[in-house]
Amino acid sequence: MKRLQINKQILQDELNVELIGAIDEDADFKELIGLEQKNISFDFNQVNMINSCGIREWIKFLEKIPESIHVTYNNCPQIIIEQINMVHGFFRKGASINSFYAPYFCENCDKENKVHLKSDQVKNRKAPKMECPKCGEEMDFDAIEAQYFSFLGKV
Amino acid sequence: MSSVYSNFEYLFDPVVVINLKQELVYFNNQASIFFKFPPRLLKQKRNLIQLCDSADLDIEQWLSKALLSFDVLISPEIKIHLPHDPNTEYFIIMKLIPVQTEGGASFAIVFHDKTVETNLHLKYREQLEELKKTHHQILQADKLTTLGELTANISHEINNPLTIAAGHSEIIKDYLKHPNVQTKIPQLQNANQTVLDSLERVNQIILNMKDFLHQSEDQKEYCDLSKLIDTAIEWILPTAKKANINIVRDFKEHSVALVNRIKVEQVIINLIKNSIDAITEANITDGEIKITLSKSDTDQQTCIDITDNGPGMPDSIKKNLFKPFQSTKDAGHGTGLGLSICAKIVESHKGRIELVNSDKGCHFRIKLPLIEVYSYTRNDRSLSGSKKQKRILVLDNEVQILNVLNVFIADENFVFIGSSDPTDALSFLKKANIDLILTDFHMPEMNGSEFSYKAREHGYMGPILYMTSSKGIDQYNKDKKDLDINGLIVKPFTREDVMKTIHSALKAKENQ
Repeated sequence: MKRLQINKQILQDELNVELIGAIDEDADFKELIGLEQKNISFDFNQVNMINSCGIREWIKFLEKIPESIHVTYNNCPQIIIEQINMVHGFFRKGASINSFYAPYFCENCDKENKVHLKSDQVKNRKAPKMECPKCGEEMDFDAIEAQYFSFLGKV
Repeated sequence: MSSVYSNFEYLFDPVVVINLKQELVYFNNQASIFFKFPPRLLKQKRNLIQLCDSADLDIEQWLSKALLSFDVLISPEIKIHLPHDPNTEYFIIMKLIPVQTEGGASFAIVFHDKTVETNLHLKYREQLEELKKTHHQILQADKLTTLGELTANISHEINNPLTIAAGHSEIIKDYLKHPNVQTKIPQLQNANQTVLDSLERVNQIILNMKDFLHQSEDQKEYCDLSKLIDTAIEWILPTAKKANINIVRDFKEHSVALVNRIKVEQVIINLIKNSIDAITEANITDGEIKITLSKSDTDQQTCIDITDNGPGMPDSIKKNLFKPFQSTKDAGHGTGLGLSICAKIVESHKGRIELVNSDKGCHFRIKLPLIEVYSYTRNDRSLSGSKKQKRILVLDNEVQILNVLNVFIADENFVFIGSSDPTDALSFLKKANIDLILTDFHMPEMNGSEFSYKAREHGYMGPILYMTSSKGIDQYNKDKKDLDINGLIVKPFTREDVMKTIHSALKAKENQ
């Protein structure tokens, strides 16, 4: 499998990091050490796989980021949300999740949709109502709400 | 939700519950994540087969058997594919636990996901193989470097006999023009022989080069160490001569070792070459390198000492001397790998290389285990795990005979213990249980009778076979009674001669 690609961009007080590919035993976040700005924003949109070795690397990396720096998670796919819910330390204390994907299902179209949500759209761990982009019918949330949104209690 | 089920929700592992008809009645959130089915779809699945597919195990059949036992059962590690992700291999172990639910007797299946661990293991094996290949390439590169550095002098060495051959060809040409060519026959024959000898010398140099560079070199054989060292010296001699350095050899013992000849030659050449470089760099005019071959009875080792009268070595270098990329030479001279490779090679022979002294000149010592000890540990280890094998001690001062018998005997799953020295063999006999001794009769230190007498004196009661020419029959007939010698293998012998005699002698002993 291709090694994790890390794209980085520093704009004023913000370090934007785009992660592409698999976060596994070969993931190396060393290149980001020392580049910290006031804020670090991670974009997980193109992460397609994560395993326990990758999680270990990620947590080790997070521990090296000074506490004064604010960390933001963006566009977290379902596999990342599942890890945040399950693994202590995957989500850094004081960090925030701006946006993520949530699974929905349209019975009318018999189609699964990953809907991009902002954290503030979710109240009391209840999935917001969403319409099918194709037929306009209301879709069902396609996971266990209490479990899937449990990460919001950590934020 | 049943309290049993709610407990499963707290687990990190995927869990499903099946009833006695193998129907899925429950799954936890982790199962939904692991099998990549949203709960909506997972609820529709009737049984485990619809969740995963394995070529390693008939899951349905395994479950049928497991359900009958109504006990905790663990599956072997199996490779599975998931319907949503058919291109990825997952490795799991299933644990089947009987549980009592509201629906009656059921079984919880806990899935232990071993995918990461198994993939890491496979990756580790793959990288280890690559590392081995790289190591082999480094060894080869070191040889090429050595050869490159010696090439100029080897060319000179080839040029000498070629010049002689060319000169004598001219002489032959002139003699052939002579009006009374018949009278010049002895001179012609002489010149012709000189041409042939010179070409043979060139051929030998080229053969040595090819031999040295040959890559398939994992074979160890019984070698006469004095001859091995002489070949190494022959290689390096032109370089030493050019630098006006005298190479002195002092072989105190005739010593045979079980070694990879080319690799040990490589070690000795490397050490001598280092000495030459050090002496040359220090502009020492009466440079001398002494190579000593001796045996240490106290620690059962053969020692090869290489001592020079160069400038010695600074303390700063000594600490990491045998680590890679340590070099005292200027850039472009030497890879800095030589000594680390030497150490690896010697270690692979269960030996050691050490710097004995470096205050005035350098003194390196290569210690190799005596062949009896080495061939015993090597062959015995290779056979570990199999049923107890018979151990055969073979004593012969000819290395070729040891090599041939090693092949015959080891091929039939005996433990072959070679020895070229009767004293060492007797000393070894005290420490190890030997099932049969096969000894040469005519040996320089003591003959077969003397050896057998001492072996019996040491309490050895097993069969002893002699190896000798047909002229030795009288001695055998005498010793047969006096020393209980059990058989004779007449030289020259075939594989059948040797093996049938050994088998018969062992069988006769067992029947006693």
